[in-house]
Amino acid sequence: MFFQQLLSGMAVGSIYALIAIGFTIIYKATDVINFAQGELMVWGCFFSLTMITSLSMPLWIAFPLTLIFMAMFGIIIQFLAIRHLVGKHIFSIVMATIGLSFVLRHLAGIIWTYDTFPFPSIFPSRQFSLGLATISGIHLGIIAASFSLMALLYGFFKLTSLGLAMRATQQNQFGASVVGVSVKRVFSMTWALGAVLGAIAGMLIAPIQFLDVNLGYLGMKAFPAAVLGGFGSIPGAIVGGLIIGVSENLAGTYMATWVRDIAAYIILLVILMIRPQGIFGIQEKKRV
Amino acid sequence: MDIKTNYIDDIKIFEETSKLIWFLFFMVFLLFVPLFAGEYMVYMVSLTAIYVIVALGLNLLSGYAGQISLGHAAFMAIGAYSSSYLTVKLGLPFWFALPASGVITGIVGILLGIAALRLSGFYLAIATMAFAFIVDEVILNWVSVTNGANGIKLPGPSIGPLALKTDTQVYYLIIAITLIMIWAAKNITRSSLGRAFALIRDSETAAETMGVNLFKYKTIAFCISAFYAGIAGSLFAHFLKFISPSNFSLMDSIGFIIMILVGGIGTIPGSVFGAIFITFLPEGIRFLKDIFPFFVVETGLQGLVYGLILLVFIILEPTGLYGRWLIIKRYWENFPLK
Amino acid sequence: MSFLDIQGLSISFGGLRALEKVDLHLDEGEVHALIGPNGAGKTSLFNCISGVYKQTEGRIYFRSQEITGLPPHKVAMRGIARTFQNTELSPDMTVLDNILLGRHIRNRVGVFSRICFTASTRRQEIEDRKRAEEIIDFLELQAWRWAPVANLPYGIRKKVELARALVMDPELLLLDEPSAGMNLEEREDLIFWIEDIKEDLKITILLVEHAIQMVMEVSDRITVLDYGKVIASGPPQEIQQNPKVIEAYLGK
Repeated sequence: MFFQQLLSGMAVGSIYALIAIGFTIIYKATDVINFAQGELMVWGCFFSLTMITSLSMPLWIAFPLTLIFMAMFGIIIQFLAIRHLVGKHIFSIVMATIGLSFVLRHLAGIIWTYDTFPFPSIFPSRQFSLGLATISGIHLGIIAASFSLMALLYGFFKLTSLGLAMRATQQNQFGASVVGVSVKRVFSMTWALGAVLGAIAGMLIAPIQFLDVNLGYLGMKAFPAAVLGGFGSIPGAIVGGLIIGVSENLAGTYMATWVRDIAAYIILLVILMIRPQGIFGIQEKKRV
Repeated sequence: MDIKTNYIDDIKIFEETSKLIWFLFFMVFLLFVPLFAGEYMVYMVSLTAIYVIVALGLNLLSGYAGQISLGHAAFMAIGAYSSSYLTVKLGLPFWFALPASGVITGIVGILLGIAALRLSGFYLAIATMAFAFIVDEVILNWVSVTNGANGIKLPGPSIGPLALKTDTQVYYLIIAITLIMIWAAKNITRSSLGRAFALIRDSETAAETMGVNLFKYKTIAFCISAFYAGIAGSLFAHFLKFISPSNFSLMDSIGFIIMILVGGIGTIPGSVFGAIFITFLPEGIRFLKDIFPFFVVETGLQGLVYGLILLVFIILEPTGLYGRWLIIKRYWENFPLK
Repeated sequence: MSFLDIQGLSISFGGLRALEKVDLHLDEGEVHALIGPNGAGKTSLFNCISGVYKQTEGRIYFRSQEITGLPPHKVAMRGIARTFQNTELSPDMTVLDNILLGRHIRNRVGVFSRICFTASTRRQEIEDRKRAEEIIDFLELQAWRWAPVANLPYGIRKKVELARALVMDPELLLLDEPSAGMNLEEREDLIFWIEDIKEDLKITILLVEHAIQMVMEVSDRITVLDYGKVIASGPPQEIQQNPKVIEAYLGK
């Protein structure tokens, strides 16, 4: 039973990790904390679902098309709303992206209704046996896909010029622009990437959690994951996400079921009290 | 001129006579609402007054002391459910339950303040959000005290042995309590308490080196703010005579933030303007729907509007309704000079 | 023991040693300047005294009582006030309100009294206001009393911060680059004010400064820091001729 919960917890946890990586990238490059990351998940799923059901597209066409749409969607959002937030007080940025999340959530509700929909998975749903436990193909697929994606991202940031440009912009915007990095382009690309990551995370988890406009609340859980791992650290987001996912499952199994819903937030409060910089974070001191 | 009298002038509640006149106007208006306006207006103004109390508390904490609170509805919930437990389950009278709920919520505020002591900015924001989610879940599941998702029915407010029978009587009680809360908030802002809060917001380091004990004053800010929300929660509960967890959601917390943003952050009139704005917003939406009939959907609209308001206000950064009011006022005062 | 005693103070940030076994002794009533190239650790020293930073090694004594490691608000209550390199004022509040904040440590009214604005709160406010007005007169800030700080020129804001510190009635005043951003005329005025603070208000002053001329004119003694270490200490004429000091400023 324990092993079972561990594995399924890792599956959900890797989704939290993906969402957390999504807004960590956005934060690192643009200093904007994106409270609407969960809603990007929801929009990605709904795009897919519309193509699959109304346009009868096969999955292997719909999914990549969704990613392209979402990339453009991210760029549009960045252009319309986010670029005005640069340099503003953190309270303003937080409230603005919360506002954005409300707009996206309820626009989705107006367009696609507030009903719940089943969502197809590219992974087989049958059970696989792994020694002490069995795991559904979907969960296994999620873990495999997430980790592959994380490896891809690692390669992207270390090896490609765009990835390098993003890291440079995060370290020092002015310095990066001086050496020829188009900061505007980096901002757009960052949001495109963030939206794509959100969409992927959504399409991976929607088969299990079903799709409705409130799926975005999963995005809220990514914050404890990011903070636990060390806000601004991508390995931290991964570790944090996995820990939260597993802890939730274990809390739900061995304590009351309702504890599962708030386990992430309890962990968040505890970590904020004893070590706010998280596992991989660095303590910053204000210089006067 | 006697310097002493001058100083006393400066710390009066109404710094300018014009403010006093506006205040009196307002009082007369409020006095006569039940006599000339219908039942619905009495209801709406009562509700607005309750929200004014919440907005005041939130403004003191976030607008003045600079401590972000994204989960303020949770404090209101604690006040509401404390009051319901004290009156319904323990049979205590309303005039005791009201301040007691405030105190209970204030104590929870102190606890959150201590937990959040070293946090600021984003970390404080999500900490308060997490707090709100936890409170929400606890309310849903602590069925013996809160009746869970089914909600609780409550008696109306009473003063001593007199139960207030009509809506009008309840209205006057709520207005009276709101006025007291406004008075207290004004006192805080014109005393060294308000100044200390403001410096904590603008420079914690400077505040500390000027002798402000951060631990003490941040905790006081949380405590007062929670107390206000608790009082409002108790009034809310006995006014509506029924509460359930859905009255205190994230949407409500965000609504409170919008109140102080739109009204005018860090100001007392701003809290009033903001509360009026949010309470009458559904009216405004309904009005728009009559003009633009394609707004068929009812459910999502409030959230959509809240989100748009936030985006517009943050991006355009106006000083809120109160700030706009001051600009207009200054224009007329200086007319015809610029 | 002297008025202010700093013994063997060291502080490191990560791998960087900002202060290295610094010894500093202030006599009561003197004006003591702390100079040195940028990054020498001068503001770090102030921050250690104020309690904003926690030192790695060493002790600090004020009036023979140890204040090492005290939290900043307790250091303030012992009678030490300071100003900052970048003025740390409340931009939306008026000059008067900012200055009144300096009276915080003299506050004798409880929270509840202030919420109800009792007679004792009123008395406290009047007393605070009286003292603030005295300092406003002293620094000639009357014209700016009701102005919100945000719109004021830099030189005036520095004066406001000085006023706030003076209103605390401190015994020791730490000034961090008080003349930065001031023109020649303002600098002359500042010299007079520092002298007045020393003579009339009887406050001991420790100041960090880059304007060497002003430092020479106004200080009783000077201590020179370089790379976190004290390289010289003594009266101005001595320091002017000290070869190590000249080397530190001009390089080898």
